[in-house]
Amino acid sequence: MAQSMMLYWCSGSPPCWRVMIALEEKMLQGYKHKHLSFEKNEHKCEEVKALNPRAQVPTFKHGDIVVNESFAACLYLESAFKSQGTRLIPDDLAEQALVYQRMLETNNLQQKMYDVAFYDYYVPEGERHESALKRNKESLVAELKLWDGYLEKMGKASYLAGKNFTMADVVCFPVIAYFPRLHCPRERCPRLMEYYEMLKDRPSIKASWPLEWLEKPEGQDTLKNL
Amino acid sequence: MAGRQAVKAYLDLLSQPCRALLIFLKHNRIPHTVELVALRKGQHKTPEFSKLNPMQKVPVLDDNGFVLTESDAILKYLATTYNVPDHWYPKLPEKRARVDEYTAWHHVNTRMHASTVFLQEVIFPRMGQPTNPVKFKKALTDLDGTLDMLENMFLKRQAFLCGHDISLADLLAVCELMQPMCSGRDVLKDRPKLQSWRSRVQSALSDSFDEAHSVVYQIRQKFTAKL
Repeated sequence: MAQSMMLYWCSGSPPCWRVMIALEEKMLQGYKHKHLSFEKNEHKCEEVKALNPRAQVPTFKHGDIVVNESFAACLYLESAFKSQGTRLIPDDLAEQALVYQRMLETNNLQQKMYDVAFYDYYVPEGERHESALKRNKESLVAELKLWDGYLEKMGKASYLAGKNFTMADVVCFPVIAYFPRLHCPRERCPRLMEYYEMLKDRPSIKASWPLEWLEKPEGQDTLKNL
Repeated sequence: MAGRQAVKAYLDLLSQPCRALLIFLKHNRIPHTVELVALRKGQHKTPEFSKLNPMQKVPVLDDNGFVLTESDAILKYLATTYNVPDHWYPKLPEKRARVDEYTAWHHVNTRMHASTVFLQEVIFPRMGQPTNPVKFKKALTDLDGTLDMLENMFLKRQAFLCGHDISLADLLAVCELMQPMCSGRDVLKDRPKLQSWRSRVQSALSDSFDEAHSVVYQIRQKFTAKL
């Protein structure tokens, strides 16, 4: 089954990482993959463009079925392999509702994190403003408080959508992992940091952990002054 | 082979190849019973066991009267005769040859050197024979050389030792490399690529890995508590 899958990915990219976590959780090791270098713009190659007009990663194919967009790929894998590996979307409607909510809320956390940590990457030099970066930082601080509040309310050792590991965790952990790496002060999100400690040794997460992060455990301190 | 009775596996989980066998049996849901043979109590040297295996070694497989020794042979036999996913021991000759290539190399490389480190650091002192510093240093150097080859000759840029997917090679190798953990020693400590590989193997084996290695974790706890 996994043999007919192909994943184009870049190391450290949260969208790529979440698909890899999903593949591990669904016991789909053995998928074919091509590791591309972000720095060398390899994700813009013809091979990727042929499958994804946006020339983005992850670009994913299962046999003849192309499933780009990390959330789409994750949901597809859960649907196609529902009875295999970990159940990532629960049957109970109330639980499901929370899983879907937290999954899609991840976009907010991801974007706001990028807006601070990768401000210089995304915004051309002539368009950068101190005031904009300041505004982005304030927005991220508020966003972190919101997530911390969610975890606080659910109690110790809970996952993002309840007492079980679900698709919400698959999708959000790769974003959350950036905060300790980029030296975000612990007081900004103590619950998230606990959550990170709890999840970082999960087999599917360890198996897909970016290699450069193992080689160099500390990243730049772009979130140090948050 | 429908209607077959469960196989009998004679094991001691302190033994690396025994763990590989148990993990394989459990992970692939092959009906089996386990007969524990406590090496530390010399149960492999009893007349009864010697009748079963004159080599006095574990693991041994008894498949309804067909008795087989040597973990390599046992794993390959099970992979061939039971309905397990192809990736364990691929049918395609070239892919199968890669697994055989590793397992042939495994015994006097990965197994020998990782085992020596463990024996010198954990077992001999337990038996009243202190660690021999010269032999120990040599074992560590030999293991280092083996790990270089594991990384550069086998793993390279692949997800697993023999290709995209996990095989008997990874199972045998990982159990050997876990053995020095008994003293808290992580032989892959400074090797991120092999650490990644080990994490992938653990993820693919899920619960059966930790279950089989529980004795290693217990020994590690006792060993490190003494320090």
